[in-house]
Amino acid sequence: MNRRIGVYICHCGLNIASVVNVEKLTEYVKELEDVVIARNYPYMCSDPGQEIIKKDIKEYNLTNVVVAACSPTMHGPTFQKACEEAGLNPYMFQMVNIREQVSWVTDDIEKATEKAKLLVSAAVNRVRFHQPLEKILVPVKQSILIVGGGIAGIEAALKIANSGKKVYIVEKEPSIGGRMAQLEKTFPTLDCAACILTPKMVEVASNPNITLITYAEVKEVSGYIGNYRVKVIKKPRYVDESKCIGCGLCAIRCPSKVPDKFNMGLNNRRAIYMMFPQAVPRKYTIDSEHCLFFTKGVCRVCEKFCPTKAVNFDQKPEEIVLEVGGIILAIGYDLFDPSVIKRYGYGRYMNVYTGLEVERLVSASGPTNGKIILRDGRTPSTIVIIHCVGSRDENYHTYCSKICCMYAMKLAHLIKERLPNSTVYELYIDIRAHGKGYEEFYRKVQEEGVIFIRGKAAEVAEVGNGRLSVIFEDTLLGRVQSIEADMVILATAAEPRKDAKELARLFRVPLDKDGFFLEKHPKLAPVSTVSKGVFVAGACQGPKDIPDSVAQGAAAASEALALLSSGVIEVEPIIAEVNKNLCSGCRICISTCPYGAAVYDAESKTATIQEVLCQGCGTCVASCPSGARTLKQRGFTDEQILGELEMILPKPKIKMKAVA
Amino acid sequence: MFKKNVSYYPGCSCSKSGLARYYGSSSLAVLKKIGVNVSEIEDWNCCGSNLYRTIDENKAYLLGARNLAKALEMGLPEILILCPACFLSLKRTLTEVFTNSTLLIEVKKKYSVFGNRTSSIPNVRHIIDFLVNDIGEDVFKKNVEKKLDGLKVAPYYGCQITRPYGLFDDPEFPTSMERIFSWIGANPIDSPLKTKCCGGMLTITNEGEVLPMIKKILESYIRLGAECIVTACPLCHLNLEIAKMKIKRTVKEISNIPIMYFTQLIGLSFNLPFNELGITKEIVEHLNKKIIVTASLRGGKNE
Amino acid sequence: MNVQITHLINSDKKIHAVVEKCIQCGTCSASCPLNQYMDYTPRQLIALVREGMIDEALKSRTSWLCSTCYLCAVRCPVKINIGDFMTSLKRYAIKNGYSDNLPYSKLTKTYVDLVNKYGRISETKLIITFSLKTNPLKLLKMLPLSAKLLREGILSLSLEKVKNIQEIRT
Ligand SMILES: Cc1cc2nc3c(=O)[nH]c(=O)nc-3n(C[C@H](O)[C@H](O)[C@H](O)COP(=O)(O)OP(=O)(O)OC[C@H]3O[C@@H](n4cnc5c(N)ncnc54)[C@H](O)[C@@H]3O)c2cc1C
Ligand code: SF4
Ligand code: SF4
Repeated sequence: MNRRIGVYICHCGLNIASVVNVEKLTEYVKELEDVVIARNYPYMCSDPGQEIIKKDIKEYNLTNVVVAACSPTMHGPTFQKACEEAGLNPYMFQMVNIREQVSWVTDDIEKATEKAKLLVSAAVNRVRFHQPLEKILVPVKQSILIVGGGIAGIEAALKIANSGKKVYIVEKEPSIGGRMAQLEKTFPTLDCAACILTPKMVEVASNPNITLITYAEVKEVSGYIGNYRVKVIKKPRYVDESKCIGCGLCAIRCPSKVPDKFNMGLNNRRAIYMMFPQAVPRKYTIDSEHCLFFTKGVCRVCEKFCPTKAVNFDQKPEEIVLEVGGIILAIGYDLFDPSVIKRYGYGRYMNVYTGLEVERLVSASGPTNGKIILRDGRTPSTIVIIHCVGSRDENYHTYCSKICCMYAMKLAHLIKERLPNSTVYELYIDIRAHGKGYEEFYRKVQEEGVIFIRGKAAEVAEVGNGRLSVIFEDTLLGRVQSIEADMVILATAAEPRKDAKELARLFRVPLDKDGFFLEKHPKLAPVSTVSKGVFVAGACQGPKDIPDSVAQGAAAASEALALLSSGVIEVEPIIAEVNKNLCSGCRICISTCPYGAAVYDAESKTATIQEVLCQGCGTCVASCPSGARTLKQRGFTDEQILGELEMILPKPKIKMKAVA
Repeated sequence: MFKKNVSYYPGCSCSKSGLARYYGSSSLAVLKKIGVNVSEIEDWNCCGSNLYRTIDENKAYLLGARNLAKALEMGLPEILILCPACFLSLKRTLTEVFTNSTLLIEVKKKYSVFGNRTSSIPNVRHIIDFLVNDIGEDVFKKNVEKKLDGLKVAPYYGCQITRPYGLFDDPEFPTSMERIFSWIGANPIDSPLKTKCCGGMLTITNEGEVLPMIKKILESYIRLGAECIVTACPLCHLNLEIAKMKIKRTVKEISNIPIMYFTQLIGLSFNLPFNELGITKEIVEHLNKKIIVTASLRGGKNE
Repeated sequence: MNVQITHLINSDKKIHAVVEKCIQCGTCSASCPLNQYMDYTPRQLIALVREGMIDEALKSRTSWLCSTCYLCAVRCPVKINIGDFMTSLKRYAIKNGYSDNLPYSKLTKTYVDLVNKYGRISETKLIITFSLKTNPLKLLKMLPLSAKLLREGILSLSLEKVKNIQEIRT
């Protein structure tokens, strides 16, 4: 094939042109073999820039295009599209990064220009071996999986279901609701959490488009955008969900008492339990770790008292396979365990609490029916709330956990509401009240008589009779002080779920430096991930309050819906390809493929690559013992790679036009 | 039998002419009984302590490095140290030498053994770390001849054993000494002040400010019913003794509470000779009264 | 930045790190066992240096009361070693003549002299030499303790010298 190559060098304003001598570069490129036209232009990505390429393709009958500009992840698709519009196969195009890899990393004009010459000539030599490739189109499965049924997951599920698409929610606990279900009132408007959450939970249960799979976890994920296959294990509840009417007669009789996790262990529940009164689904569950039948082999009292014969001790884990087009991760957050900061005495001193514990203590449906009673039975009169426990601290989490200042102030308000004569102190470093109505909330709490002191607590000591002394520097006075308190509340940081790492691996979503799911772009793609078709929402992407979690839930839903309504997706044709005539059927590639795309075809006794599963990673190609002629990677053939290297390695045999 | 070869850096305080010489001798006796082969670093010098560092930081590290070099020359890179201040100095020297390239060059020039490819990197260990994590419960129990059953022992760690590096235990709430005590039968007493500052060198220059602090620590131990206060630091020991003298008249209980090095207490349970441990007969008799005797042995070999 | 702060910061990279990182939370101050005797809290001392009020910082008694127990250091949320910062300040103060009359400064100098001379020190010798320089009466006050220590055979006036003393002095 006779090659006619066009090369376009971008100035990127001054980003490139101030370091790389673009004129010199253009002149140099013009002399390379097969190059018929080379130009430079201030902004190649602009409309006029793209027009130049399109015009040249037609005018000069170009077979290949090389653009030397910024990163191909930025504008590769832009120029591919331009080629396509001018009738050139987009895979006949190649991009060279002379911004991030050249002009941004040096000030040396001479060297930068030399490097740019090498890179561009390598690309020119590469495209000489490019072949047209066709995009692969696959239909998108018309359903979405949501992992985690907290407020973010619920919001996303309802949005998608109400637009007529099918949704599966996989929730780890026996009920959906997440952390919000544990809250009393919510800042900044102080509406009761249950009152605004319960209707949504009920809607989830009744929406015919939503399949709720509770007490379940994702075990395996395969496939790709538009066509995911997810294996879910549903743990046995030992209660038949179709029969249980939630009457609770079983729990009244159950003799085994266990600390209630939902109530942060502040009281006991039974071994057969419903997480909380508004649980969805309203079904009981046997906690087999504490059930006397499972631990000691005797009891089965619940079975006898259940009026619908729902208790079933023979239930086994159930495997469910879901086929979905896209996935939303909404697994929320855990809370930092403050007992590791030993000097605050959590776990050692009875009257040191975490914020979430107090949230349960002030809850009308909580262990004390909303009365603030300490573990030693007293009613506190002096309360100190310590901010930034585990956050903004390089020893634990460097990040600001964002929600704690606000919930600390909310708790202060609730305590003042219940115990008007109490004195409440907030020990803070900085108050972070960033949302709509939040500053006003801060002012309101201050006006209610809560005392704000700027200083991080250094230590909590016991002074006897369950009373505590909190030592800190009032940094505005410059004086070290101590407060004797009945109750100390630690505003602990939100941190990633313990199993976030495991899920990140399953769904191939990277984690950020703090262990939260990493979004594709912090500003422009906040709920997408680099794993196409996998979205994130809520506090699993970073500490978040309810308004932000809901907004993200809705945003993820719209991303997911956009994917479903596109109907088909294009899969990059940069995949592996077997030459059946040369393949000996040794099957090495099959064992190396991480995506299960390489399979053995018994009939032809050769390997076959399943196009839609192949991710183009190249592992099989490198492993094939009979070499690249047998198993090759489209878009990364030996000729292409060697062609590129030939130009870059020392003493390149630069192919110049023969002097006529 | 446990066998191990280590080098030993006594430092000025724990050396034969130092104030804490019995910390030194009792530690050596305990290690010998366990079967650890201890060789004193030849011609060691000042560790380059914080006082020295306050004047000349670089020179302080060079002083520290000379000791490390001597240990390397002896082929014993694992260095046992008793005095927490020396421990910190040498640990710090080690960290600085290997993270500060100009210093490393200087040190290599001065002590060629550092540049020698075949010599290992020195390993600076505090004796508590070594006893708890290398020797361990089993070996310990084999050497106990007299269990100190029921004796209420108050460990006082002071600051620099675990701070600032927190190398082998929690920097504020360590429990290593408690573990050792439980192996010899004693009952450890837990005070929240066990790693609070004794004032260090400030007792010499700022006695007025520092004494109340030490008194508070002593009083906390008395309140908790300590029958014996145990330290692992020459300076803590001295400062507690000073405070004890000062409050003797007002707080009567204190005169009955001996202040000892933790290795002296171990030595007692190993039934080692009193003269090596440096404990007086009165102390032993006093402690014996507190021990619930289960074994037939009572008192030491010298009696 | 004024000349003095540039000079101070350049003299010691540890000071630089402190000045850059401190978030003024006060944990160090409230952790310090001697804070009630200080004219500036440790946090304030950092603020003084940061704002260029070096003279005031060097004249403060705060750093001289630091016993380097490092409780602040293990608690600081931005991992500043405040104890080392104090040592750096002391060193700078001594070098620049801010502290010639302070007992602590004299103690360090006595200590360094002994080490430079013998390669080691003896506590007894250190205390006696230091007290003779500052407050000879104090020696008398220490008699009861000395007597006890002598009785227990702990006090000793002998001091072993490093053999290869040339290695120390150079
Ligand atoms: C003490 C306290 C008080 C608060 N008060 C307020 C307030 O007043 N106002 C406000 O706006 N915000 C408040 N918040 C913040 C609020 O809790 C969060 O914004 C909100 O819960 C985030 O919702 P989410 O759905 O992202 O996560 P979550 O609520 O954590 O829900 C995540 C769900 O995913 C499930 N899950 C976890 N792992 C898996 C898995 N592997 N597989 C399947 N499912 C899984 C969980 O069981 C849970 O149901 C408070 C937080 C605390 C700690
Ligand atoms: S079997 Fe017994 S212990 Fe277990 S849930 Fe039923 S009643 Fe409770
Ligand atoms: S603890 Fe650290 S951050 Fe806080 S004031 Fe002290 S030095 Fe600054």
